[in-house]
Amino acid sequence: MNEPICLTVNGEPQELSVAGDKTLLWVLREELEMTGTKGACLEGECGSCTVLLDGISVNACLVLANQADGQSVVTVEGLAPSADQLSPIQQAFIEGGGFQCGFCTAGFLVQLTALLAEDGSPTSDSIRHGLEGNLCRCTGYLKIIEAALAASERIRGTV
Amino acid sequence: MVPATAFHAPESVTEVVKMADELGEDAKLVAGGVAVVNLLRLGFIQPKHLISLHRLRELRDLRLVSSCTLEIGALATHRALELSPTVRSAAPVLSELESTLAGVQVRNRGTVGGSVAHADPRGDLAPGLLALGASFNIASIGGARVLAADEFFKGYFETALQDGELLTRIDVPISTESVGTAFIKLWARSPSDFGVMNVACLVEIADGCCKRAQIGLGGVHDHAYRPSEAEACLIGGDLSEGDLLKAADAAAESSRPVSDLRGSADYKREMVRVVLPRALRAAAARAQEDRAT
Repeated sequence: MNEPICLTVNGEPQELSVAGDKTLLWVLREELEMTGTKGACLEGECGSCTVLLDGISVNACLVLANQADGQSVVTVEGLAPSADQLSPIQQAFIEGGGFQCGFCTAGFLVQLTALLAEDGSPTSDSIRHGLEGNLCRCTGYLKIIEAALAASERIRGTV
Repeated sequence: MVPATAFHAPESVTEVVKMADELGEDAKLVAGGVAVVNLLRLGFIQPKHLISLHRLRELRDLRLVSSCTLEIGALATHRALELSPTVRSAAPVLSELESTLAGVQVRNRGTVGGSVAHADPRGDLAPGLLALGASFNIASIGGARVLAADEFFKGYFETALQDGELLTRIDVPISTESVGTAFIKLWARSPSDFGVMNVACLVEIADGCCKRAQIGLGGVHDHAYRPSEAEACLIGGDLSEGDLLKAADAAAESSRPVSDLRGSADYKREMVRVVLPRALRAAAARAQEDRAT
């Protein structure tokens, strides 16, 4: 077996030993039993498995777990600031109905967390471009984009 | 039971090439993983060892040397190339093509070196690097060698890289005066998807005469390539519509597309005829603008 690796997942240190070909998505769901992060296409097309790796959004299905040794991972379970408070993006999704079946939602929330951290004043077009790597098979994109704009306004404190 | 795949994370180029040499075909190099993890999942490769390059921090650099060469470390991410102000001013065609190369998550993870070594014939980066006349620096235990872009791409997912070799850096010559570049991806479903075909080109115009024409074509052969007959139709001329159409015919003639879900072979060949002149016109316009400033 390979040398153990150390990941910080949503602030919690985790030590694991993982075969070389296993992905970060596999570790999250199968080893750590954190099933908030979804696997759908498993090839980097759909963005359902988006997590933040040292603050940068990546597809967890394409990251070899061993390559993340020493890095910090934030999943959808780690977005809310506390047990009784959601993040502004999560709140905006609920208020604006930014999901239908919900399967893609975790990926959209994490990707938007990264996008809004990078650009606090996004436009509808910049959000669309930033979400090119996230697919919603229910095709409910409009409400997702509206929720993202509402969240950005809330974060800027203009609402 | 198949033993678990071993994972190695060497810390220097010297260590990587030594390990790659020792393990030979039992090992696969992995950069960001975008291509390799897909190949593992599909069972197309079953290496006993994975040699990860993620600790080679020195290969992530992007820098302009003596204002005439853009050095792109093989482990620079697509996103780094897309957003770098240095790349935007020195080789804008690369920022342009990177902005629609897959989604942000893939660009954040995938590397330039991993992408070109994977050599998907539909990839967006290869036509850009071909048109810019880039050269590829390769390390191995036997020493270093440098290949021109058009010697690097060899066939269907095939490059000139041998077992035990590591692509370390791509050098892009920068020409500022009277040069214009353009990239066009003809897409079927969404701009971030692989294109039906794609083309990058560079033209240099002096005294109304085309001094240089470099074209990279993707998606219409088993690998990205430079249609040299098409380039020859342009050099020495004035980039008239007649010359552009002659070049387009020559390029279409040189193409060997295959039919797939993005279009039939005939359609793709026809699209070379349509899209190449568009790209050349855009590049020529930029070369003229450049002279005006």
